[in-house]
Amino acid sequence: MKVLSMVRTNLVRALRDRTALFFSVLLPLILILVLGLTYGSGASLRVGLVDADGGPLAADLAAAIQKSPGVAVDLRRYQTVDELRDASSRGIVEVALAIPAGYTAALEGGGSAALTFFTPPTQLALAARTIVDRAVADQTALVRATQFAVKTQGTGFSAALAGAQGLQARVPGVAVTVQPVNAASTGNGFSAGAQSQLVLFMFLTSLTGAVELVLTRQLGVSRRIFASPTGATTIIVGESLARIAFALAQGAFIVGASAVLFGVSWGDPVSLAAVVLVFSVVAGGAAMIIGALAANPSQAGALGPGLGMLLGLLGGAMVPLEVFPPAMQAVARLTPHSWAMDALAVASQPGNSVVDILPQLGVLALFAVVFFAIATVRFRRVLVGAA
Amino acid sequence: MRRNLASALVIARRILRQRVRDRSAIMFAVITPLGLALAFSVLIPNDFQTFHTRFVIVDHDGGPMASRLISDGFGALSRAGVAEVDAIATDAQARAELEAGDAGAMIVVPAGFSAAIAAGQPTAIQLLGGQFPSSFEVARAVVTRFASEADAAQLLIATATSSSGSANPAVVQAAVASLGQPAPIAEVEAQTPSRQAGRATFYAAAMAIMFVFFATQYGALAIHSDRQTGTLTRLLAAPVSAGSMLFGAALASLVLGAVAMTVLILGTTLLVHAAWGPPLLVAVLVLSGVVAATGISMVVATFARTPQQAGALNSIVALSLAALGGVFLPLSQAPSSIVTLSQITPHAWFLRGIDTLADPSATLADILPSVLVLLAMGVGLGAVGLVRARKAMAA
Repeated sequence: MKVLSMVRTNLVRALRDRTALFFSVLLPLILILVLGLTYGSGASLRVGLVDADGGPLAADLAAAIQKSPGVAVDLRRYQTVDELRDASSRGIVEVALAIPAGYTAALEGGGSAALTFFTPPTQLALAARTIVDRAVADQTALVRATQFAVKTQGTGFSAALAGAQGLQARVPGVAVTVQPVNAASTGNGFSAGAQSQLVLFMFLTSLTGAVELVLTRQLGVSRRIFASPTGATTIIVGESLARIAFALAQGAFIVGASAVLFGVSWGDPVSLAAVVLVFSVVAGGAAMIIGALAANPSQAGALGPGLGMLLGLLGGAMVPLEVFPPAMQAVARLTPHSWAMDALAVASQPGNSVVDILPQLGVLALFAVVFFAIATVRFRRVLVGAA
Repeated sequence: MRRNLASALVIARRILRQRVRDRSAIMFAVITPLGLALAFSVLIPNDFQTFHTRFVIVDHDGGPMASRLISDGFGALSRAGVAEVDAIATDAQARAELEAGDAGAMIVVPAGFSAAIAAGQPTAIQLLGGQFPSSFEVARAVVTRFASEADAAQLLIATATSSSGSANPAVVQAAVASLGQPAPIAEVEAQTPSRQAGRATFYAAAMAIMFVFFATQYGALAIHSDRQTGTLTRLLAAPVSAGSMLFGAALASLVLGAVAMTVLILGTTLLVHAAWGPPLLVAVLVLSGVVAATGISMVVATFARTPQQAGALNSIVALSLAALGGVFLPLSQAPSSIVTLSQITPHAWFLRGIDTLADPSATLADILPSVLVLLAMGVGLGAVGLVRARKAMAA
């Protein structure tokens, strides 16, 4: 009963602090939204285009680029070559292509035309270029065949073009059969962002909340409770449960809000509940350590968010671990974040159940036990020493 | 006038002295962003500059068309330094490399491939992807480009034969000969200078503009705490005008912001080799950024009643603008709607200026849009803040 009222007091105090509410409610949603919108379109290729020609062949080429098989192309049209060049140099478009005026007329007249590509000196631009090149190669083949037909058979350009287009559909050609080995991850673009924000913010909010713990100590609340017929164990259990409940509330909010607002699919509910629960115990334990170690609220206020951000970054909750060098990936394994992210990723794959994430849950439980062991010893010393 | 200026300077100096003594200001405005810039640039490799992958090819054909695909198509990638291309004897070996993540894609050329193309018969190249979607797309593009060239040859022959109904050897020969002529559509390359800051510079600049708000808040916070402690009433009773107090506070914010930024620029240049650009242009851009942040901090503080509230409100505004302004992710990768929306933030304009400075040929004229927008934001919002604060002090 005493334990429960301590939990309740702590949560009420947190809810009254409107600044804290911004950081735990609005900021994660803003980040999920921004990251989701940015990465949500998947591996879309940003192609910039200036069509100074405006003729049918230029329109065909633009349409072919947009419909490139297997890639989502985000075709952005610019009015002038200067705008296109600027977009290319800033990396706003990965491939920049200018179709000159008179393109259609030149090709229809049996002549040739030149497309200008603006390429910034990065290698990914070169790689992305290949995808646009494909559409250009298709049109080149078509125009070549059409011009040949015009020359040898004397038909008009548009009739010959239609003929060649008809033939292009029937030429047996070389097929490309495609088979991705590892199925791409499921869920919409917000899912990955929501998973990392869940892990990041549960831990961050919990560590930030450690300030409350220090305040409770500094204001003498802990000592007064201790003076009442309440044992040190009850106080520690009460404060711990408050920290865990705090992290749990943050987790539940992010899961619920992201599912309702952004349609994030979290996968198997049992696995999700298990990860959120165990991770809130880990986050609560970390907050207890900060609360026991920090000498004053401003120390805890600086230490908590700093550590929360740093561990989140190290553990891959800010940027995916794949981009880290191998040594850093090994270091990431020392953070509870990477294990929680791993568990969430496995749990969101269809067909997986809580059994598949038992190893990750085990490691997280170990973190929780170690954190609470350290926190309990330190906190008891602080309490008993102060009394 | 001169006395007003003198008292403004005294006020500014007092605020600065308070901040130097308070270590949490240094922690927030300098140490945290420096640490984060360091962490980001160490952890995130410059992946967009150094895309590299490896492809494994199983050639069951061994004919001329297969070797053309390998040496021309994939060879070009290998020569450009984009990919390593290795021939593997069996499907099983190649698949094992793919599954182990040692290759980005696996390409299987079937037996009889060259013969089928020559005879106009259907044939298929098999493409298997691994864990890296971009690598897979590059391989797919090379393979389908090759396929479309083969299709082009077949299309031309089909066109030549369609008119006569049967294969007229002379026409077919003319068609094949025309394949050797230059393509009707040529591709011209025009190099553009890169106006994108490198990763280290981007994160250094992003953290600097995000955290400068924590330095520029102290001027307004000082006025708030003077009100709380009653110092404000006593100062106003003395021959110190409200205007000169506010001016002093704004001056202190500007100095704190400029100092925090300077320390960050020097720190990130030394620690993570951030390349900020020509010092004079960087100074102009940074000062405009500090003016914008000061203006925003000043106006935001007028919506609070206590220093605690003002500090909280300031960090809320700072972080929201930062998230929208592309501090966590380069805006170049964002959809156009976000890019348009980001223009309301000083962060987006500041980072745009820093990107521009990555181009060694950039001049003051190139960063002028950023500078003017930042100054307009700072002066405009700062003026609103001063008017509001003055009204509150008079009340």
